[in-house]
Amino acid sequence: MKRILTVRINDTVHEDVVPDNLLLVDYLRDFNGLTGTKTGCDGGECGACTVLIDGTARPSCITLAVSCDGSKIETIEGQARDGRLSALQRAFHEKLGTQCGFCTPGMIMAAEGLLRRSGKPTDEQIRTALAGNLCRCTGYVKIIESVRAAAEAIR
Amino acid sequence: MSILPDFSLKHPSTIEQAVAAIRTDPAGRFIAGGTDLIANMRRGLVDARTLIDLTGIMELRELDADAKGLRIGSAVTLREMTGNADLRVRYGAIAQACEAIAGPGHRAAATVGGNLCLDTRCLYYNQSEWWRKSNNYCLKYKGKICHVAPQGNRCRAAFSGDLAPALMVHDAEVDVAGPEGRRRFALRALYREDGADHLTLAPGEFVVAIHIPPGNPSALLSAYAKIRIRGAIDFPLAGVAVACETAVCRSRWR
Amino acid sequence: MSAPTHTGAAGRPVPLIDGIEKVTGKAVYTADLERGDALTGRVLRSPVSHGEIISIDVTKALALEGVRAVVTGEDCAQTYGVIPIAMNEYPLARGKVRYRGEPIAAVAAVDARTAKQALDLIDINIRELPAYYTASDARAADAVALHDDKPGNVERKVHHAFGDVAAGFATADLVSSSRFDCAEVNHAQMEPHAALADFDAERGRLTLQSVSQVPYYVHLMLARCLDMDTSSIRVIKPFVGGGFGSRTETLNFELIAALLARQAGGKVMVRLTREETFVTHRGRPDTQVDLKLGLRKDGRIVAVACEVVQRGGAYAGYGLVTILYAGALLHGLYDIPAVKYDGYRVYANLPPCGAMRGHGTVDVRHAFECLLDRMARELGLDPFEVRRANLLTAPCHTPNGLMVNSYGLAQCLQRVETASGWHERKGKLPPGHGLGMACSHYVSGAAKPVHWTGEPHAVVNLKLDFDGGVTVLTGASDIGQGSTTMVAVAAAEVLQVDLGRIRVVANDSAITPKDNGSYSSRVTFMVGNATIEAAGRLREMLIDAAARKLDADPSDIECTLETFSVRGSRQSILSFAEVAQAALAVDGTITVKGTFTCPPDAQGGKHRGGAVGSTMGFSYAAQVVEVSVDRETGSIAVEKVWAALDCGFAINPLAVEGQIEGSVWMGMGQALCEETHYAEGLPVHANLLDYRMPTIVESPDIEVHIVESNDPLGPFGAKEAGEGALSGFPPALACAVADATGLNIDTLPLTPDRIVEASVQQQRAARRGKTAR
Repeated sequence: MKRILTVRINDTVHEDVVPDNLLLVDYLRDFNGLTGTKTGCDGGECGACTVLIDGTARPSCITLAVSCDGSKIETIEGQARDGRLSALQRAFHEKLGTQCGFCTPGMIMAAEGLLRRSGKPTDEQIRTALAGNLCRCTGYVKIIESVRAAAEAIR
Repeated sequence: MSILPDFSLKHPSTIEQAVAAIRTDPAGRFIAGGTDLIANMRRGLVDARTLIDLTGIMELRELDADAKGLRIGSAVTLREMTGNADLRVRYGAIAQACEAIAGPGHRAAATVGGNLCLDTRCLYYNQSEWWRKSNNYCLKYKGKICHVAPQGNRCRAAFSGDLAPALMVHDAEVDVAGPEGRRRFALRALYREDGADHLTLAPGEFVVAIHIPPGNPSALLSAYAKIRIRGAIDFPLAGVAVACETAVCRSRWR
Repeated sequence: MSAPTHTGAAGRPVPLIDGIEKVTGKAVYTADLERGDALTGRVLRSPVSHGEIISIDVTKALALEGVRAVVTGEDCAQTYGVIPIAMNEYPLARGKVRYRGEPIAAVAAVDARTAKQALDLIDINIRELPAYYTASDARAADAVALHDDKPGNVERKVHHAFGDVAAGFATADLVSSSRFDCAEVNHAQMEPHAALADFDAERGRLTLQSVSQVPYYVHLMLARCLDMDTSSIRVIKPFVGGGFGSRTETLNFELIAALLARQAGGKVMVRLTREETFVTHRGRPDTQVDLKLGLRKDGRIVAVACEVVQRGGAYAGYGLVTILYAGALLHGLYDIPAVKYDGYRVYANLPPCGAMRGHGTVDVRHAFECLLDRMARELGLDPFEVRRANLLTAPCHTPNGLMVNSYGLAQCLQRVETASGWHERKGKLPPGHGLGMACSHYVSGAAKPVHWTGEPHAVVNLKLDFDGGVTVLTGASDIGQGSTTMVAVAAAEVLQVDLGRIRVVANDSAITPKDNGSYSSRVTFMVGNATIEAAGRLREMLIDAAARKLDADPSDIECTLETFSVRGSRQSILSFAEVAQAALAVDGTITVKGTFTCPPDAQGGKHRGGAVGSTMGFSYAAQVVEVSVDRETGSIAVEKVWAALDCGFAINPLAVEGQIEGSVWMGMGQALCEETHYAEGLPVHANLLDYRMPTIVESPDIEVHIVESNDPLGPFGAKEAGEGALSGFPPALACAVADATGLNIDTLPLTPDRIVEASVQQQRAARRGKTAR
């Protein structure tokens, strides 16, 4: 069954005919060529697919695209403004919160969701917000440092 | 690109419409957050042609705490639950169970009803189609043998929901709707000891709300402990909820 | 050890030069590649563990509309493998299947749905054979051989003896032995496997892009398996989402993608699921270590006898190297006069193992450090003092012929001993808390390469052209460890230019020089040195040009921070651009080559297998782990880790810290909660929920100390930094658990059930001890 899906992805409104059984991550990657959002597992286990849906971080690989009708979706591609990195992007880059980079888009989007809710998160709050995002390279040490640095920079 | 079954997603806005939808396709499945259903669907464990989205029914989205006790709509998200300060104070076990479930991204979509109705899990069941076919399937789905206990004739898939015990220590009741109408019963009666058919819901039934009776909640302290290997994401190896009623001359544990 | 001064980029913390692509989502990984017209490739995998293929009928699949290619073992009669003398694997099974999940057929179709339907239409008929899932079952007298040329299912036996072990044990004050069982683990890099193959039917050319750490080896295997000339093949590596050894050999799906693309005459994208990525495996084998140590009261280790059995899975792969590494690196960390090693690499009907961070050495190091710690306790010796009683003196060669030119272990010990407050706090922590320590080391690449072609071990090209930009062309594979940044920093340092003037082009076989790949931590040492040589040559050419232009002698030209001047003169100053222009005027575009080759005395001992373990230099590490243990639930919380690593010189201290943190943490995963698990050969763990890598919640703070022993032959004195610390964590943790609870557990991982079980046994033994009186 197909229907018309109307969503805002980053700064652009999209109106597409999509099947009900299309996953949001596939809608972003395959339908719209926004390959910044990654798939790292077979469903809901790793967080690499995390995007913001109406400001809330959610795993796009176990979300149906059509359930996002009327929503605003934010992906990693929309974070930089006029070619300039967001505070989180800059911090992850400069503090080496990213090594291979594969978990990075999902990690940054989860952190973005956190910083919008809480401008001065404690380390515990950072850990809770990123609890669903796995990283295999960093041991998370510099990821926490990056989020802290971004929070500081925003203030 | 994942291949899910070719289903149609229905969006009822009332309970009656939801019931009508399931009547139209009795093999359909209800979906709310989808964090369990879609993950299982991606593994080929769910072959439904109709999904009925319950999150558009306002009645299922409401969370009310008053003198009549606590009423939790089945489509209230775990995130909404953990964000409720009142819940944390008066119903500690419930709040703690909610915040221990999966990861924050799941909790943003996952619902109370979804967690209560979680499919049972087993190392021989939660695998891909190739895996299960290579293993001749299993008693729970498409096969004849339970690989956990091959000599027996019972499915040993385990129920892994965190919320059920936490709600049970608060004497929760479930309010259920379906083609035969509405009914309300103790939460513990929702479950039966059969990994392959663990919910006592009749065909077409779905949970509408969970009720916690009024009492003197300030005299009831509750907590939930979850044993798992990692500090997040994992289903529980064991989950224990305890409620302790204290009064001047009497204490009672559940 | 006086540190040389670096006036440029080397030695300063530098963000990775491709970091911006990663944080913006612009970095393109294999599965992201533009594939508008690419067919979808899917693999059909064996449902049985061991069997003879009677028939595979693909007629119905071929007839399905939308299917463009179907391949089976009939389409490739050549074996492949990473070690030239041990290539016994086919891209698609031929004659026999040897593990559940082994590819037996593959299709390329217009979309995923059609590809899946096509797989379901393939009929397979396999006559099952007995299957073996443990090393001991596979070695049983009546076991069927997985490979006809390996009766008894042993791929390789190693027997090495150095010094007089019997005499050594005779002089020991304490001789102890123990058996350690270390579970099989997997790399679980975040990026699932993928490959994009493009076959140009008109020109007979193949282009492959894949997740490889070793594009050069893939290139060779593509030529072999497709029976194509290497000059008709091009291999390009996009961004790679982690390797850790999972991609240090040609993988079956890479060859399958190419075979499908050729048959279809077009582009085929193969994206493996996470389950398939686990099944492709190549992880660290299930390993049994039987270790016997002799220790004197003064802390000196007098003798070591070690037997290792590795359950290697169904195919050879790196197997013989893994079993050799296990014995070789008993040496090189401490000064041990007598070492006997017996190793057995055994086949089993399970996904083949391969190289994983710390290749072959991790489980043996775990056993060694744990047993040493127990013996130290028994003799009343402090574990730090025991290490200090056994330090090497550099420069030296170990008994098995391994070269040690720089050795910072003493400094590593001192740093973590102080930072952790070891002496002040050990024995005085709250109940359930404990401190443990361990040492470890690893090679900076194998000094003897896999292919003995006579070529240099690393080659780098530099290009300088009219735009004044310097391009480094390298085959070194950046998999997230920062090798691309390393070569840029090295070039910038030698040329004394701004880092921004350097561009790096990597991993396109049509453009960049061959590199053996990113494995055993060879890139910094070898490619770094090659870059320094190339940049040095370019710098000479630039100095010559500056000298001509300034009418001075080249020996009087100073070159710093993008300027060239005559020493002592204030007038004669030229900018980099001016000098570049002058240099180009001679002969146009300048391309310079730099190479590096490991000298013969670094290439290991002359005994059979002596090349394995050979290196230009070892990294050394010491770490302290603090834990708290809940005996009732068995859960272990890692409170903090202090880790010191001697990397010779930190070319990029930021990247070095990141590697130390990551490797320590990966050791933690193996120590606490990671293990594969098979049910009759089916992988039960093949997803990221059941294969548990630690989340951020339980991951501790890791305090990193960098020690610089300034290796005389390393690039700016550098050695590796990415693997050395990993194998120290599991024993440091186990020792901390022993400190906290008195429990000595011989199994990895230390899961809660094992802690509880050991705790129960301990209480029973205590009760028996009481009643026996």
